[in-house]
Amino acid sequence: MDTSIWRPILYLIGFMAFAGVNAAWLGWAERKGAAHIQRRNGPKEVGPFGLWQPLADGIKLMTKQLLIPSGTDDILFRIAPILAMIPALTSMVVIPFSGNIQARSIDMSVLLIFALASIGMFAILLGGWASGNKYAVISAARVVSQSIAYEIPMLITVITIVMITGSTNLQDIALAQQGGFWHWNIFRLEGGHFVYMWIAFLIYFICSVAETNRAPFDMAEAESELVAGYMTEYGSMGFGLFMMGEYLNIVVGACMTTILFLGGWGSPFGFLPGIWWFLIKIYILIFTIIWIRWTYPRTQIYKLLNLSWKILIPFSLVNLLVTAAFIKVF
Amino acid sequence: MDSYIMIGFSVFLGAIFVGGAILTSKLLAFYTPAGQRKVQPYECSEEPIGDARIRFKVAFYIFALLFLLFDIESLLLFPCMKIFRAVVTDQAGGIGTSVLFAELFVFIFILFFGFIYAWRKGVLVWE
Amino acid sequence: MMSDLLFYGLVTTLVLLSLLAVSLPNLLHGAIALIGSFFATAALYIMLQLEFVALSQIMLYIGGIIIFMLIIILLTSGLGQENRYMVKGRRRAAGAGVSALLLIGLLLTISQPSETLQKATLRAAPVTMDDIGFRLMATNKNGFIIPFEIISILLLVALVGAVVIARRDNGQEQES
Repeated sequence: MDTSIWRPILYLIGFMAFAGVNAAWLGWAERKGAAHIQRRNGPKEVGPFGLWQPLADGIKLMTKQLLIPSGTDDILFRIAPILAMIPALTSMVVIPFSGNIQARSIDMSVLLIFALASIGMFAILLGGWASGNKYAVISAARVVSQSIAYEIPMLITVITIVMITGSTNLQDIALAQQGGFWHWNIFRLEGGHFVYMWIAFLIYFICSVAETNRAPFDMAEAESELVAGYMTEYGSMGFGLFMMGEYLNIVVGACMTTILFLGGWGSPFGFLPGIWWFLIKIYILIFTIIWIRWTYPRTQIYKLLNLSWKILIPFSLVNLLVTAAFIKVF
Repeated sequence: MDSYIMIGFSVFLGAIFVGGAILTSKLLAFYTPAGQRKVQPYECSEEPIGDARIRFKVAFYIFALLFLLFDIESLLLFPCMKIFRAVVTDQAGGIGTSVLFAELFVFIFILFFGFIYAWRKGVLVWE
Repeated sequence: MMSDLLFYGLVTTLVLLSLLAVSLPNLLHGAIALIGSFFATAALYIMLQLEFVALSQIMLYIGGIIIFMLIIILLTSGLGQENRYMVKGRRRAAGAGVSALLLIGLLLTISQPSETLQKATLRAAPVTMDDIGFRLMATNKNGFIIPFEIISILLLVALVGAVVIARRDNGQEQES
């Protein structure tokens, strides 16, 4: 076989390996970050700085019994963690890490990522419902209401970006923001968008935190009221897959925020653009997400829904119309 | 289409990854016979009473419908907004800018009216 | 050749999953099968190079309508478990008869070359997202601006209907 078919496949495998490594080590990063925020040490026994902790955790999870409690819906219970993991892995494939480091560039990658993200919501709903556990069922109900509430402002903000760029390809959206931070969508000087684009950025960032069920919006897990929410009955790899799916969703969310608002792989000062800028940006965002989680207390589900329906959705719609007016005027 | 075949292939790769993880776990796990109490749903070591599968509140139905509404709206807005800039700057497609703006405004406004209606009728009240 | 195989594979999957979706006793399992069949449909759209339609299919039908259906299933007590209300006996036979008639009618319609169908196919031929945008917004003969605005009114009516229906029930509901 010629190399033309193996190259894309190798790229795919590389991207998935990146995703897998991230999914595993973000758990470590989160524990370490949490520990230092709370003036503790965090994992430090396994390897230098506890760096091999994810491996130890993985082995521990793998040697656990795959227990299916009584009263569960067997098929759904088994399918749910798989549904949580595969879409998150797949959406890594269309994310451009730099001008030429991308597994697959498709015309509608924005839509594809949203299409895949909507499947992740099923996993939680079905997993929670199938468990036959009261906490899990309440968690499933919360997740549905939360995800559907936050998907709308997210979509509308993305439409704003699509309107500014005139493309639904993530590669084009990032390319349109090259050369200095004043070209990034969040601070964009051209067309006077800088007046309000930071609002869109805030809306998008809040939604991406809420969509990945992170604190202060982690109504799905809410360990002080719902034990572990939809994951209560899962042990072993079922739990592991849910966990990795959650971290992967955070990575995908950070990548999307970077590409849509922070200029993708573009450098802030206009020189040396490249993959390292992209990685720096996504890890800063991921760190911010971890930081937010360990700084703010959990909100109530009603406040959460109010925030989306009564503030974010009207604001994002108005933002869309204002952007349209700005493009028309300038 | 080639790209989508690759994406299908990556779903397959993901399935291999997930399947491998589950299979390894099956092979490595220590199995002990599951007693009656072990498979009982977790309820802080109380005996579970009644069916866990409570019915969802009927309000969820309206949220879901509102969501569906905005989902359809945003999907329809995607192609319309994608061409917006081209129409405004290059007069592409032979559509007047003001006409386009008015069309979009009417479309969004009608839906926003529905949203306000639902809000006024107390759909968005949680207690 | 390759694409023929792919097509028949997809169609077989689609038919099997659709059959499962209507015949499984547990409605939630049926919903899972329906998700699969929607994916197969999306793959068919991609084979026709209608990428926007395919992705909309996934986003709208799987991310929207199935969620909606799941919520309705979970709203009604007991449908998420084994279904006691399966249609049996004579009503089942009657349903099968009606479906068979529909199938025959459909086969008769699509087996003979129709000019209208051909024209419609040509008109719908490879559509990019920009084409859809221009066609939706255009006010001339080829434009779809009136349907576009009517959609929003239709959605508004659906919403108002839902609010009216669901609010009447609110008094009797206290569960979460």
